[in-house]
Parts: sequence; C-alpha cells; structure tokens
Amino acid sequence: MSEDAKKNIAGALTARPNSDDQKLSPLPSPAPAVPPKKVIIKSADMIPDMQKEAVDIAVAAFEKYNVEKDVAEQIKKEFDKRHGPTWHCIVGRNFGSYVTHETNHFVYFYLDQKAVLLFKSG
Amino acid sequence: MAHHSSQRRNLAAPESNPTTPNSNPDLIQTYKPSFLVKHLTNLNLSQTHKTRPPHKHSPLIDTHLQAKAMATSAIQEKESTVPVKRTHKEKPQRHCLELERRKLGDPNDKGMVEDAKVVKGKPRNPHLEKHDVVVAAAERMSVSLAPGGGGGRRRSFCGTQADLRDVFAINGAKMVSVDMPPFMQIHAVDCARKAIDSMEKFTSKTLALSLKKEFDGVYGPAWHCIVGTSFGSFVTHSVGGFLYFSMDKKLYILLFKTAVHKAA
Repeated sequence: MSEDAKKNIAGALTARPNSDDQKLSPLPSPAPAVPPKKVIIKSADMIPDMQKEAVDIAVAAFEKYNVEKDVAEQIKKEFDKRHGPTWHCIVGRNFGSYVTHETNHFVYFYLDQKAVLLFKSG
Repeated sequence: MAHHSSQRRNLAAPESNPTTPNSNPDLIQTYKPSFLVKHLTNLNLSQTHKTRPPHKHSPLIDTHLQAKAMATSAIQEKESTVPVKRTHKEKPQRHCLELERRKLGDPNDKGMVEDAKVVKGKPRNPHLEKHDVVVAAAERMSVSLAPGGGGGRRRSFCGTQADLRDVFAINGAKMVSVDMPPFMQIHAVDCARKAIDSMEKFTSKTLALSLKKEFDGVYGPAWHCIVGTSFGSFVTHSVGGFLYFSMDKKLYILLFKTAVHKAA
C-alpha cells in the first residue's frame, strides 16, 4: 500500500475542471514553544481567504484533538456554520478519494504528515 | 462499539428462520441484474421527481414517505416483476456519521481508536419499526418479530441478509457501518472486488474512482468514495446512501451519497 495520499475530483455535474495550486506557506506560530506546522496546498478550487480559513481551523483542530475523526468533525462543523451546509471532511495519513464538489468549494492540503480533504456537496 | 454489536446481533437473528438457501454464487449473480434494470427505472422516476420541489415542511410527513420508500424497496426485492411506482431517494434528509480508522502500529498516532457513531437528527425509529413489522407480516407469515426490535434499523429482509453475509464473506469484506439497502451493499462489494482484482498495481484513487463512477451511473449523482488504510472522516449523507466497510482486513472504503442542487 502506497503511503502517499492521492485524490481526484470529477466535475461533470456542479464543478469545473480543477487546477493544481502548489503553495508552500509556513504558518506563523501562535505560541513560540510550538514549532510552526508545514502547510502544503496540494489542490484547491477555493478562494484564497477560504483556503486560509480552512488551514487555520485545521491547525487549531489538530492542536485540540488527537483522533482524526474529531479533527474532521471540527473542521466540517465549523465550515457548515460559517459557509452553510453541506460540507464533508476527510483527514488521514493514507487515503485516496474521488468526489464531486460544488464549484469553488474544494481544498486538499497537507498539514505535516496528515492530509485534509474538505469539500462542499449537496 | 455498542451500536456495532447491536448490528451484529441483528445480522445473526435471521439464521433461525427457515428461508430458501441462496448461498449459490450463480444464483446471487443471476439475482443482481434485475436490480440494475429496476433501478434504471428508478433513475427515470428519480429524474422526473427532481423537477418537483422537495417537501420540507413536516418531519412526520418525511418519516412517513421514507417508510413508504422502504416498503416499496421490500416489494421490489421479493417480486422482481412488480414495477416501481414511486421513489423518494432524492429527499434531502441526512445523517451525520463519525468514522475513524487508523493503521495499527503507527508510531506517530496517539491512541488508537476504532468506532462508528450514528447520529440521527430526527427520531424516526418508531415509525420505521412499525413499517418493518407490517412489511414482514405481508411477505412471510412465519417471520419472527424479534429482529425488528433491535435499534430500529431496517432488518426485515432475512433472505437478503443471508445473501449479503455470503457475498461479504466470499470477498473478504466486513461491514463497519451502513445505511444502504442490501442489494446496493452487494453491488458495492462486488464492484470493489472486481476493481481490485483487475488492477495490475493497486492505488486507492483508482478504486475510489471505479466505485464512484459505478454508483453515479447506476443510482444517479452524486456519490463520493474514500479509500485508504488510515483516515478519519465526518460527512453528511442522503438517507439510504452510506456504506463504510473493510476489505482484506486493512483496506477501508467509505462510499456515500449527497443530494444535488442544480440551483446552487
């Protein structure tokens, strides 16, 4: 089993073709004791402000929870609250995915060793 | 884990019922095409149904309609010649499910937790139980009422569950959490097994793509599929459109459906 997480999107219904956005942006650390996490946006169809919001919420969730499903729950609920339903979130070290998402509502990024997939559909 | 145990008890109950043995793989295979044909019919009905605005006024009405949908599904499975009159699978009722699975022995993960929780926003169990009993009584006079009492899940189709367990065992699959009619579960496991066996080199993405496209094509959009050995998730899905199972003891597959809003 390959360790790298892979993902793809199908935009036939409600999404247009997705373009890769390779960014490497170290996040400013809120606490000096905690080293800043490495953030890599692997793929995104989302406005930059919302992307940053997703990363910030994910960083906070990883600090608060240890279990992946709790992190996913935190991120999804926060986005359901802020940007309306219905969002879905997958967090993990090893997974591949194929999803359909709404236009401008998809982001896939790495936070250190964990991958986060967040998208809106339905 | 309590809920998981409950599911297992429900699955074990039908063994005591004297039903026609359908463990023959050929029978299972011949059983499946009629489902596909019928649900292509469902697709047409579904498309027609989409033009009407969904009813969101009263939860009771939704519950009743959903129960009727279950009754229709039961009739379909028992009598393959009965045409489908109505379907409500596009209704925007949803459940939130928490799932988490991490790789065993992963040194970087803190505390290994494996559990599935089902959180339903509306208390619909009493109605479902009533309709389960009615359906069971109509189909088989000798059926036991005990299976229906456990957790309010749809467990009236004893013969279908036997087929389900056989298919899962043959393919080395195990259900973790499910909200999906048995024939669709069988379809998913068969599709996954065929996809895995046909790959020269396995990739999670390819399997996810295969499953999603199959279900989008047969049961209508929009399906989503996640495949991997170590991931956690939190999703909202349509009623009757959720399946989380494992294959070969270490690969986990999450398949779920969401409603499509064209105006959005």
